[in-house]
Amino acid sequence: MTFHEMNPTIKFLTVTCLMFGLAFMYNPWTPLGVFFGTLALQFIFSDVSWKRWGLFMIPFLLTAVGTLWTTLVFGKEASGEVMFKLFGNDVTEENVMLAVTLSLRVLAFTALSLLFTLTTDPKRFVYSLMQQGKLSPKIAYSVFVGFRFFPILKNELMQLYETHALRGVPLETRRDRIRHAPKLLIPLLAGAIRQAERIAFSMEARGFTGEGRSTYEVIPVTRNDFLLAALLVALFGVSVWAGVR
Amino acid sequence: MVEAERLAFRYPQDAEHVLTDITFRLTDGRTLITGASGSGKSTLFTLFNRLYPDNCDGVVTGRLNLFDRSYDTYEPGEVNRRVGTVFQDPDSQFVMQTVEEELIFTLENFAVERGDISDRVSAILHELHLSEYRHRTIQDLSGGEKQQIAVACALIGRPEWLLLDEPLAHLDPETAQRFVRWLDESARHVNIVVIEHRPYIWGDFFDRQIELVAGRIGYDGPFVSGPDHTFLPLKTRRGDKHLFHIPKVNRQKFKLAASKISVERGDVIAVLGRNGSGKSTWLRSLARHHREVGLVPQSPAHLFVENNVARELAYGHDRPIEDMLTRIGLERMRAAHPLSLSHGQKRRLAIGVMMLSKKRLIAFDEPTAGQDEASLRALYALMAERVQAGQTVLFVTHDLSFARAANTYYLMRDGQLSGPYDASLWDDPDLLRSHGLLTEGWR
Repeated sequence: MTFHEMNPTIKFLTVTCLMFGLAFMYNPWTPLGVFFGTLALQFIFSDVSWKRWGLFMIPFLLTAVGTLWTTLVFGKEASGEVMFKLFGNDVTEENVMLAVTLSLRVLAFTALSLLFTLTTDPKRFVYSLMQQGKLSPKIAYSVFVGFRFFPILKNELMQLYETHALRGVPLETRRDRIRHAPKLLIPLLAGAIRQAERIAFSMEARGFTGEGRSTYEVIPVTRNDFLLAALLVALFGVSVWAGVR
Repeated sequence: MVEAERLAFRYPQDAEHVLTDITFRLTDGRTLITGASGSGKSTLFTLFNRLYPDNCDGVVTGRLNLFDRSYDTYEPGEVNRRVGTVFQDPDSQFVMQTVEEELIFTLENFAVERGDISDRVSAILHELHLSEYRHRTIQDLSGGEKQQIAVACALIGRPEWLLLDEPLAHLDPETAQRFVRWLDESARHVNIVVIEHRPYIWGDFFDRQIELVAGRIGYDGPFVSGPDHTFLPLKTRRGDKHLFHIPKVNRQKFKLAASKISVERGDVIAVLGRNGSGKSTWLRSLARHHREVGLVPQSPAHLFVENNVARELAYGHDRPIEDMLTRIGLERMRAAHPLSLSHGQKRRLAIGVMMLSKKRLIAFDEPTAGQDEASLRALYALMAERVQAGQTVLFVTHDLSFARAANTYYLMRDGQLSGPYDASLWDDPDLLRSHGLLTEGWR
C-alpha cells in the first residue's frame, strides 16, 4: 500500500478537498498538524527521494518566510497587548498568530501538493482521469501529444535563437534573450500550429475519433485507495480538532 | 478500393478547383501517384482516407466511392479501419512516448479486446522484423526507423490498403533504399498507394502510375521506371582563396572533429553524408565561427525577425534595399509578412538578406528536402546567379542528383570531414558506399 500505487484520481480529489478545507482554518495548529502529518504519511507510505522533496520545497519555504515577514511588518493595526516593536510598528499577539497561520498554510499546501506530484506518474493520472473521472479521450490524448511536443518545441526555440544570433540580433546576455522572446513567438506558434494539424490528421487516420475505444492499461480502484484517502482525511480531522480545541 | 467519376474538389474559400475531372479506379496492387507540388496529390490522398472533405469543409462534386459505397455514407474513422496512412514528416505523426504505447493507442482506437492487444503488438512487430524496437522511445529513433514504426502503426489495424505520402522525403538515400526493400518484403498482403516526387528510388516497386498535372490526370497506365532528375555542374568563376577553420564540437552522444576547408571565391561546394553524420552540426559551427558565412537554414523562415519583407531586408544595416527587392523579385511583396511567403519566396528573401549583409559564402542546410523538380530547378538557377555574381555557394545535402551541381565535394562520416574531392568522386563506388551514398545497383 503506497501513494505511488494509489489511484491518481482518488488521490487528486482527496488532496484537493484537504487543501480546500485548510483554506477555512484560521489557527496555526491545523496547518502545522497537516504539514507534519503529511510528511509522516509520505515517510511511511512512499519512497520519495527526500533530497528532491527538499529542492522543490526551497522556493515555497522562502514564500512562507516572506509571508510571515510581510504580515508582521505590514499587518493591519490590531487591538490587544503589544508584544514587541518591529521597524516602528506595534506587533500584537493577534498579528503574530495571523502571520504564523498564513505561512504555515503555505507550507501545508506545499507538502500536500508535493505528496501528489512526487508520487504520481502523469501518464497514469491522465489514464485514470479518463477511466474514473470520465474525462473525454479527446482532451486526454491532447495532453499526451503535449508531452511529446515539449522537447520538440524546446529544440525549435533553441534553433531560432541560434539562427537569430547569426543574423546579428544581440542575444549575449539573459536580458537580451528575454527581450527578444516576443519576436520568436510568432514563428514558434506558426510552426506549432502546423505540427498540431499534422498530428491531428495522423490521429484521425489511425482511427481516433474519441469514441468507441477499448482500454489496455486499466487503472484500478482498490480498497487500499480508500484506506489511504481515509488516512489523509483522518489526519485533517485530527488537525482541525487540535486547532479549534 | 477507390472509384472516382468526374470528381472535382475545391476549398471553400477558393473559387478555383484543386482537383478537376478525375475519373479512375484504383485496383489491387501497388500504385504510384506523381505530380509537382500543388498538383493535388496530397488532396486526392486525403479524400481516399476521408480526412477531407470533413476537416476543411471542402466542396466535392462528382462521384467518389470508397469500397463500393459513396464517401459521404461513412462515419468518421470508419474508413480508417480499412485504409492505413503513413505521412511525410517522421516527427509529427506520433502521440505516445514509446513504440509499444503508440501501437496500443492504434488498437484501442479500433476497439480491439484488451486481452488481444499485447499479442497483436507482438505479432505485427515480429512480422515487420521490428521486435527489438518494442520498448524504445520514439523520440530517440532515426527518421528511417520512425517511418518504419509509422508503417507498423498503419498495418497493425490490418487494413486492406496502405497509403504513403512521400515517406522518403526526409531520409538519406541509403536509408530510403533500405526502407523500400523492407516495405517490399514485409507488406506483401496489402495494397499500396504511394505519393512520390522522385520514383526512381523505388526501383520497380510499382505496377501502375497515375500522374496529376494541375489537378487533372495527365497519365494513367503501367509504371515506367525512369532516371532521377539530372543536374549539371554549375559554371564557376574561381577567384581568391580563403581558409575556414571549424573547431571541434563535443556533445554527449556526438563528437565533431575539428576541420578546415579551403574556399575559392565563386566556387560551388557540396558537403555529403548520411543523416546523423554531423553535416548540419558542422554547418552551424562554421556559420557561428565565421561572420562572413551566411547560413540559410532548412526552413528559411527561421531567419526572419521582422514583420514585413522590406523591414526584414533592412534589418541590421543602413544600405539601400530597393535594388535588392527587385533583384530577388519581391518588390510587390514588400509589405507582406515574411512567414506568409511561399517556400521559394522565403528562400529568395533569405538570400537577399545574406547579400545585403555582405556574406562571402552562402551556406544552405539541406535545401532540397521535400522539394519537387520545379523548386529544385529554381534553387539551381538561384545558385548559378550567385556564383556568377562572385559569391561562393556551399550546401549540405544527401540528395545525390542535386549534389552534381557542385564542383568541389567534402564528405562527412561520424563527425569526420574528408576532402576536398572533385567530380571524380562519382567514379569511386567504395568511397561513396562507405559514406552511405551509393545509389547504384538498386533493383
